[in-house]
Amino acid sequence: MTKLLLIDDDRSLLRALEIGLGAKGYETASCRTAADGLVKAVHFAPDLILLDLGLPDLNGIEFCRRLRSFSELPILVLSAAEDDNQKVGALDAGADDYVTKPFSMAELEARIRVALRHAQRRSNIDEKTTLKVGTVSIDLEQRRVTNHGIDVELTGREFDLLSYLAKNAGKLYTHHQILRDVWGRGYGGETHYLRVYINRLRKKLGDPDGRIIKTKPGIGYQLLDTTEES
Amino acid sequence: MVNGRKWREESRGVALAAVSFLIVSSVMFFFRAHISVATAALVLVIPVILGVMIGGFSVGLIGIVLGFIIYDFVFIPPYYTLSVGQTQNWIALGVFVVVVILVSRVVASLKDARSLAIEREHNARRLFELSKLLLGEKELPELLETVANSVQLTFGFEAVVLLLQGPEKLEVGASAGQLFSSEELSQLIPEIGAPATLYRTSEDGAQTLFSLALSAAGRPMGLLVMRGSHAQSPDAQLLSTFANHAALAIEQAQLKQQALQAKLLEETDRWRRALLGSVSHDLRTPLASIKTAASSLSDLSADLDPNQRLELLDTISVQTDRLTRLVVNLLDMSRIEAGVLTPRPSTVEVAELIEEGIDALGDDQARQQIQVRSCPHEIFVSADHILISQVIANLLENAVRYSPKEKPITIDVSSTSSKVLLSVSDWGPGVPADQRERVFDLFHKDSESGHTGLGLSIAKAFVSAHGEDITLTNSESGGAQFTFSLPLVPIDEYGYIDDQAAPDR
Repeated sequence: MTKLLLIDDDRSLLRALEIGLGAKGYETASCRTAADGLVKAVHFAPDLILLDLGLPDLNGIEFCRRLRSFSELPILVLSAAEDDNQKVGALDAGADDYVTKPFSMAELEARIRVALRHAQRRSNIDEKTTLKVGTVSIDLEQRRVTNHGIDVELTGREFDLLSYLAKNAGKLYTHHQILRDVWGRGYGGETHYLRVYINRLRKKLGDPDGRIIKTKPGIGYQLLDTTEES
Repeated sequence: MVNGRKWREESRGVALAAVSFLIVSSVMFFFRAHISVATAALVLVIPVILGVMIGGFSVGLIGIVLGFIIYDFVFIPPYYTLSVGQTQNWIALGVFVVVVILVSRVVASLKDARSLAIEREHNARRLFELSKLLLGEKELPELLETVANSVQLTFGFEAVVLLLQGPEKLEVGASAGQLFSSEELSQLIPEIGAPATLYRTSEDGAQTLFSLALSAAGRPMGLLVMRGSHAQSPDAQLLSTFANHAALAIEQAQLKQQALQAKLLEETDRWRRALLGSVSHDLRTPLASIKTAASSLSDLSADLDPNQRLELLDTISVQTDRLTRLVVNLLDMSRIEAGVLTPRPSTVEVAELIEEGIDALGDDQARQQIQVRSCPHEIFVSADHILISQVIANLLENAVRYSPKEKPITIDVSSTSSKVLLSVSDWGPGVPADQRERVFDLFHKDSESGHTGLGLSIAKAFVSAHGEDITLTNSESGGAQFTFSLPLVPIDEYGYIDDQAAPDR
């Protein structure tokens, strides 16, 4: 059974989530403070954490940072629309995705499934030499990309960017994360670079509308998540 | 005032002249046989000069007449007649008059020069004193008052009014002394661009109006209008110098006020945005539970037992109440802000108020936490029961939010001879002493949880509307304890409510 840890200071939302997720076959544990959350993350050993950003004792960003210091557990942020900065901060600090309150159970479950899949993929990605995203396949070893079987010419940086997003297709990366991980430490604020590269990639992949590389305005980018893997 | 002083000086001069005439003439009277007519004339000059020194030239004229009579009567033979006799005596008398007139003139002009110098020095000192008043950080209204008052006192006007350039016409900024009638004021307002000099506007019997335009760096600022007596001629130079200083100071104060207003607006704007953010957080929180519960219930594949279904339905109902309360709070807040909140007090039993407050809270689960520790029956207060039950509900909601689930929230009631004190205590973390006032602030936001202080600021506004007070202390358990008072309605020994004694509001 999949185990979920729910952290939110609102008692009634916690209760509704416990019942709703329990009815869909998840095992849940819940707590109302970040401190409890960090303890339960170890003892309950969940597969995924649902985290509210407005906790009374610690903000969400700090929670993500502390959890990441000892665990790679996927974190799905439950956020209110107005704390955009907090949301980006939490993603930067290692959260995997977010859902905006109020959300339906169907939406939440879909996000939970995606986040769990990333976690699984992350653990066996290294052996794979070819990633497939829709019609695009990326040969990590040969550094070759094909779309519909036809070669796509990419520069080194373009390839790095695409493969970085593809390794965690469906995971939402912030501008800051991408710049830091692909361009290197010292980068972070140069979102215009990123926009240029993303546009070039989209053109070369025949994806002018951003169906494969999705834009999350003000936050970052996400690669289309498909279950096909080879 | 100026005339009074002059008249006083003159009469003193005349008195001195008269006394000295009496003394010198009596002394000379005994030696009349031994002194010449000319010597007597010489000696009689002294009293006139003394008089002039004190009283000015006009005293000299009186002195001449007086001296002339004494001289002619007492010292020019034939004695005690007005006849002069010898030609020689005519000459002596003529010389006496001419000498006295000339000397009086000289002495009088010396005296005038001296008093002018004194007045100049005095004026310079007054200007310095006046200008000193304009220095320092004064608010605009205070500065205007200062200007009007000091002009009135220093220059001795009956009334002074300071008109400031408003958006369309001149408006009264400050006034001192006797009031101007509105008719007078309407006459005073001149066309724009009046000359920046002192001029007399009208003469009305013994009274004269003076006006002086105020301008700073060429920009017209307003008009200074003064009413004084007809004969008064204020030191125009001193007044206009002071007016210039005042105009600059006023301009500076106006600029400062504008800057302050701009800053205030900016601050209000910032807080409004913060408030909007947290209100939307407060709205979204119950919505999240409702949506979650409702979408679980409508999911056919979800495996829910009947109890869980009931619990989810209950969540929807409770959270809807919470939303409703928030909306009511927001409406109340806008009523408070619009200033249309007037409590309608009636005599109510405290126990009933508490019950209504707990009912208004709506949250069944939280209701089990609440303990009414001490509420004697038959205690009546004068209160608007709708507003006060809302106050109790808001205090309880706040307590529920911060108190651990397993600890009780207590309501205590105590009474003095005229007041009833209601308090709500929780087992939460409490509030540090230095932040207790801010908790009631409309824009106060719990920085960690993002909850607004809307409920508490409404509670405070409602209690204040009753003319009562609400305070926050720490309870014995270390949690927060909110206490507010209401006026007690006494009951007489037969158990009847003494309505007459109820404080009327």
